[in-house]
Formats: sequence, C-alpha cells, structure tokens
Amino acid sequence: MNILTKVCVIPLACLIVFPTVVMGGEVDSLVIDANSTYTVTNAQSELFLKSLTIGDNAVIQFDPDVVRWHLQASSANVGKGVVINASGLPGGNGIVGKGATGVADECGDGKLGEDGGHGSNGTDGVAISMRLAISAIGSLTIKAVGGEGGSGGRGGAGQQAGKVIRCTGPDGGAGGQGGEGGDGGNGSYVRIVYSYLEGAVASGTLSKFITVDNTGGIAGKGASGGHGGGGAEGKYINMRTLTGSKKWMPAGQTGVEGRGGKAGRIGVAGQTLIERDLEGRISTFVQSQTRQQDSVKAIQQSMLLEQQAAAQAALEAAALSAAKLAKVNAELSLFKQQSVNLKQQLSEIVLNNQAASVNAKAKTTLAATESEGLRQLVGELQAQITTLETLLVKSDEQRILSNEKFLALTVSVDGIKTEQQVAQKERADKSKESQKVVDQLLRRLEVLEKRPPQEIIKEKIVEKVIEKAEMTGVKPVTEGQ
Amino acid sequence: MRSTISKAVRLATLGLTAAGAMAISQTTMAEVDVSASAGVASAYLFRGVDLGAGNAAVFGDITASAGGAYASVWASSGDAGLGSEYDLILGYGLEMDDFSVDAGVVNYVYPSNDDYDSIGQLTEVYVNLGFKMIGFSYYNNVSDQAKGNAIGSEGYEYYSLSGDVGSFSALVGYADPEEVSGSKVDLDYTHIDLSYAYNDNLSFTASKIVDFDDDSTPNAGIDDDLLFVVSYSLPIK
Repeated sequence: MNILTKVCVIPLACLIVFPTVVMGGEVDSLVIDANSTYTVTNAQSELFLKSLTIGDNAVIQFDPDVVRWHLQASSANVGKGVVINASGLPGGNGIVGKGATGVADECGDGKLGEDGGHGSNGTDGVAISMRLAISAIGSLTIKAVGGEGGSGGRGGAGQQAGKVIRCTGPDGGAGGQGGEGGDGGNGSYVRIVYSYLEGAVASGTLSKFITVDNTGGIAGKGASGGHGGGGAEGKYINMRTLTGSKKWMPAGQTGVEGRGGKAGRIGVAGQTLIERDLEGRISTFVQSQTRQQDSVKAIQQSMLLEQQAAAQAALEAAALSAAKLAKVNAELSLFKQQSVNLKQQLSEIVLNNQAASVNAKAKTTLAATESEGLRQLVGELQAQITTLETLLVKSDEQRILSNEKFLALTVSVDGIKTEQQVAQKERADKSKESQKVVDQLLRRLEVLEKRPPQEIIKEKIVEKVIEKAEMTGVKPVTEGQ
Repeated sequence: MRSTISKAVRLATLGLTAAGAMAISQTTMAEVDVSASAGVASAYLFRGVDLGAGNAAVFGDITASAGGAYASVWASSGDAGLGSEYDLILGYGLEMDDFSVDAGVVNYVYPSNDDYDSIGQLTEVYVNLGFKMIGFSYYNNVSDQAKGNAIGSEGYEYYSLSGDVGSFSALVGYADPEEVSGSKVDLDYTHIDLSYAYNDNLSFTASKIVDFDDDSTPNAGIDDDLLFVVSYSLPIK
C-alpha cells in the first residue's frame, strides 16, 4: 500500500466507521432508553430530529461546556418520570486563608493570617429551547436552576504573639478576613413550543405534563474571619521597680478576629415560556388536509377503477348477451330459413293440392268409398293433432320460458343499462358505445318479439302434417279447407 | 571564702556583660524593640527596705532590646537619703526552652548627691538564672567608690530566690553588706516579698525582713516591720 493509497483509504474508512461523528448533530432519530442517562455534548447543542423517543425515568444531562440546547423533533414520544438536568454547576469554594503558624519572635506581635479566597460564582443553567410535535408524553421535569455560589474561604488564624522577654506583652496577629461567597448562577431560559400530532395520546396544555424549576442559584456563603492569634501572657521579669526587682509585664492583646466575608448574590430566576406551536398546528392541519385530499383522490381513483371494472363487466355481460343473441339470431335465422323452406314447400303443396283437387273431384266417388278409411285416417290425424297440440302446449311452455328469459335478459339489460348510465357519468364515450350495443340488442329483441313463436310452431305443425300426408298419401287439408 | 566566690561571680558577670555588649553590637541590624512604662508606688521598696521613709514615689523607664541584649534607663523620684535617682542598665538575656540566663550591669546615679552623681560610682553587676518558674539572682557592688550607701560602706552582695505562679510572685532575698573589718556589727538580713499583679497595671507587694540582728546593729536604719506597697504601672507601647 503506497502513501497515496493510505491517504485515500483512511479517511474513507473513517467515513464508513464513524458516520455519526461525520454527521455531527444531524440525526434522524434519537432513542433514549428507559432508566438510562444521556449526556448532551457541545456538538449536540442543536438537534433536529425526525423522531425522538425518551423512555421512562430517563435522565438527560449536559457536558459542562454546553451553555444552550435547541431540540427540535417532528415526532416526540416522552415517557414518564423523564428528567432534563440543565442546572448550572456550583461555584468552587474559596481557598481557606493560610494561618500564621508558630509563635512570633520574642517580644514580637503575631503575624496576620491570610485572607480567605472568594467563592466562585455558580454557572448559569443551560438555556433550553425545544420545538416538539408530540405524539405521547408522560411527565417531564426540567431542572435549570442556577449553580450555587461557592462559599468563601475562612480567614487564616493570626499568629501567636512572641514571648515576653523584656517588653510589654506583644499582641497576637489578627485573623485573616473571610472570603466572600460567590454569586449564585442565574436560572436558565426555558422555552417550549409544542404541538400535538394527529392521534396523539396526550392533549391539552403541556404544563400539565411538564415541571420547570429554573430558580436562581443559591448565594455562596461568606466565610468567617480567621481567629486572632493569642497575645503573650503577662509575666514577672527581673527588672528594676519601685516594689523590688520583679516587674509584672502586661500580657499582649489577642489578635483581632478577621472580618467575615459577605454572602454572594442570589441568582436571577430564569424565564419559562411554554406555548402552542400555531405554525406547527397550521402545518399539521395543512398536512392533514393534504392527506385527506390524497385520500379523496385515492377513493375517487378506486371508485373510477370500480366503475371501469363495472363497465368492463357490463361490456363483457353485454358481449355475452350479444353472443347469446347472436346464437338466438342464428337459431332464428335457422327457423326463418326453415320457415322459408316450409313456405316454399307449402306453396308447392298448395299447387299440388290445387292440381290434385281436380283429380280429387273425379275421384270423390271413389273416395266416398274410401271415406271410412279416411275417417279412420282422420281419427288418426286427430290423434296426431292431439299429440301436436300437446307439443303445442309444450311449445307454449317453452315460449313462456323463453319470454321469461327474455324478460330476465331485459331486466339484465336494464341493469346493465343502469350501470352503464352510472358509468357513463364518468366515461361518456364508453357508455355511448355500450348504449349502442344495448340499443342494438333491444332492437334485435324487438324484431324477435315481433315474430311470435306460435307462428313458427304453427308452421312447423303444418310442415309435419304435410310430411305425414305425403308419407300416408292422404291429401292434407289446406288452410281454406 | 565568701570573698573568693564573690570575685569569681564578679568576673563572670563582667564577662557576660561584655558578651552582652558584643551581642548588642552584632545585633544592631536586628529589630529593636522599645518599651516604656511609668508608674507610681506608695513606697520605694528596695530589697525589703523602704528607701522613701514612707513617702510615695513615681518612676518611669524605657528599654530598648534587640536579640537578647537590652539597654534601659530607669528613673525615680528617689529615696529619702540620696534624692532623685536614675539607673542605667545594660544587659543580655537568653531563653532556651525552660532555661533563662540574664546578666548585666546597672549604674545607680543620684544627681543630687555628689558621691553618686556619676556613672561608675555605684555599680552593680548581676546574673539572673531561671528554670521554669524558679529564678535565682545575684547582685554585686563592683564600684570603686562604694561607700556610705544605705546598705553598707564596704560594698555588698545580694542574693534572691524567687518563684512565680501566674500573677503571684514570691521572693526570698538575702543582703550581704561587707562589714567594716573588725566590726562586730552584722548587717546581713533576709527578707520575703510577696507580690500579686491584680492586672496589667495594678500590683500589690508585701515585704518583711525576717532575719535581721536588730540588737547588734542599732541605728542601722533598717525596719523589719511589714511593708505593704501598692503600685500602679502604665505600660506604654
């Protein structure tokens, strides 16, 4: 692997291995498990999330260098007992003044104790700004209290005075002054702009679910001054006096106690602002409307598809009806052809009957003799006619059935027509074509209806009679007869 | 025998005084502490003897000390016999834990008396030794013109043993004037002083000579009656 390869590969590997780092604060979603603690770093001072889920009893805290936090989530699900600890850090305590240790030189006053250091100020709470679209919320506590000011350091003790040798008793050293307390940090600014998502579990004002404590930090306590050093004790020394050689040397004074440090200033309470996100609500409403419009469009499309399917089915039914009609037409054509043939045959029979009538007159006499036989034949014919009448009854029944079928077809066609009329509202062109087909079918049906089946049956009966007559040689009775 | 011891003590005292003087010169650069006081007493009590003949006296002193060495001037309205007085004191003291050593020279000057109106005419050397609350002092008149003083005309020595407990002090002193050679008069005496410092200013002292041969020293000017002295001292820093 040469240098160029290494230079190219290593950053690429970093991009692959550490995508979160590369992406910085841009995170699509954040899930904080229940009972866990999540620490916000300075790099996450601004978080824009599509989804935020915080489990029950989770705690969010901040690195010391984070001074503000903006959180924006398009969908927030906050559990119960969640705590955001954005309180400032307490100030450090002042250094305790160093006491003047030991004993001063002989006849010397004690040295002063060192002053105590001042407590440092507590830090301000982390300013929090949140814009949340809430889907569910349990309870949330935001602690944004200013840090407590540090206590001042106690003053150092004064030094013990030196011994009396040949002097008035020296005084003890004064105690150092107590350090002043640090100022409490200011409570932070907390602003929450919220809205509820459609179908959110919670509702109403968010203050019901959120508790904010952003009071100012407690002032640091001032420290007491250091104790003064002890003065020298009085004692007798050998010295010339009016009362002998012993002189009482007075004691030294105890050192003055150091002045106490002042307490710090209490931090200023922060402001809290919890308000509904009107812009978000409008946006949500618009989104809802858009979704509803999309839904309406989908319904319309679905209805259109259903209409198309219904029209298709109607077309198919019409095609099927057309096929059936074609079949009926074919049968009718066949009947028609047969009827034409029967007419021709009947005409021939009539001609033949006219020709035969001449012969018949001549043979009337002969026929009289044979009348008895004819009567028998007539009887037979009557029987046959009875049979034919039975058939005719059956044909009537078939006709009735056929009529019922026709009626059913008519109803079906009417339904199809109705459906087509409904479909025609959306698709007029197809409806027109369907109507044309239906009209054609209706016309054909009307044509068919104009041809009553009794006539056809009658023709068929005539044909059968003629056929029988031909077969038996008996002259058939004509229509005139 | 006593004379031999006295000479040895004198030499030692002079040596210590010389050492103190040297120490003063070496510590000139050291911090100098100055203290002063003034006061009044109902009597001038000196080594068990009322020098003021019942009269009150006033006093004042100023002391400069540095590194153990000290120099002091002490003045008083004086006694009945020699008049006003001032003393010049030069000494050196050391304290090491519970032990203390102090030695020096004191010149008694009486301006109104021709015999003792100059430095050296009445001079004592002294040594003070201490251990905790117990102290021992030795004074010796080393002046060449020591004569005619109230104690004796041939010089003298003085010893004391003291003990201090808080603001109480007890002292037993023994004065040993040199009697005139061949004299049968015994001037030695012993006295006891009891002092109490009521506060830093007011103190009371009771003194009594307990061992004095009054019969052998008539008209010696020493009264062995109990003396009670009240003094008020005002220290000035």
